Amino acid sequence: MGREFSEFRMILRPVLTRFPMLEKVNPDMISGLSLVFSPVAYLLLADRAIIASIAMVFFVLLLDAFDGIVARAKGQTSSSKDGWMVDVSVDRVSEALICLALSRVFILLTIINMGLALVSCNYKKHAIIPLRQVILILLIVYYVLKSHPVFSYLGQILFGL
Amino acid sequence: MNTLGHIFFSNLLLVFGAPSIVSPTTLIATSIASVITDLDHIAHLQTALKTRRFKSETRTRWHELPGLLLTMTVALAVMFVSASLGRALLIGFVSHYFLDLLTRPTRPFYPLSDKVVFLGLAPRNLKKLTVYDIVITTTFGVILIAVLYGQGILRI
Repeated sequence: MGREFSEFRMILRPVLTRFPMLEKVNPDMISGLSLVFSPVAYLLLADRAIIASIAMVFFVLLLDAFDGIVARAKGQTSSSKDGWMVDVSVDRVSEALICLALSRVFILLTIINMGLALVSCNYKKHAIIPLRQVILILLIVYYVLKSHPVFSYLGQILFGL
Repeated sequence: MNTLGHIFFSNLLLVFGAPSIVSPTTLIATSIASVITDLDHIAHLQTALKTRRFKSETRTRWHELPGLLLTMTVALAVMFVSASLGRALLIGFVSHYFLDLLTRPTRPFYPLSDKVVFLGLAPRNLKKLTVYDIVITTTFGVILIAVLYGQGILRI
């Protein structure tokens, strides 16, 4: 595991050399930023602004991934319990916010995911549904299949039920 | 976040995110849902008056992820009876956890873990935090009042 991270740091080193301010950034703050943009994603989804929603959910996911990258580049391992807790709690609340604009199916999935997060903490085994990634893919499919008969069914699953 | 901040922010999410269900009933439901989680603070009111803040230790399991799990389940169940009321409650519950996680030290996995999580997006110093809270709450309040006034729900 240690070697894996040192290799990862080596890959990231040029990025950190180019942007030295990243060394000073607190990864938890980046997680916080991904949380800050979640209500924006909710509002865009509620407004059915599909392209903007896709962009915002992608941006939230990007920030979420970026905090891990910065943490690893700074030498903090992803196996650390502290980092895991920040990450998982931010992810669950972010998911809950985004799903506010979606159908009951996604609210149920958010609840299941929250239960899984608590079970993961208890049994120290990470088992989570990548819900925001699923939403992003569904939104892209929904946008691409605009003129297809499947469109209305997908719309029902996403926003209607 | 303070009580008013929770009420204003949750109602903003309702007004902008679900304008079709905005009514005095849903506004009240969202407001109640957004502050009901804070009831567990009452037991620690005396200490808080001395220290002028509620520490993360005063938060019970119902103020953390297990609580969010429960309140979301309740809101989802209400949705099958009244979709608009359930949605309003859900917005209130989720907005509370969102603001608390963003601005306060919390223990998301309590009682499974005592680890305090703080995202560093709000000051920890009491004086600075008070100013921060006042600015944020006033901003939310002004926007909400302007929107409700514009929609004719609020008459001054």
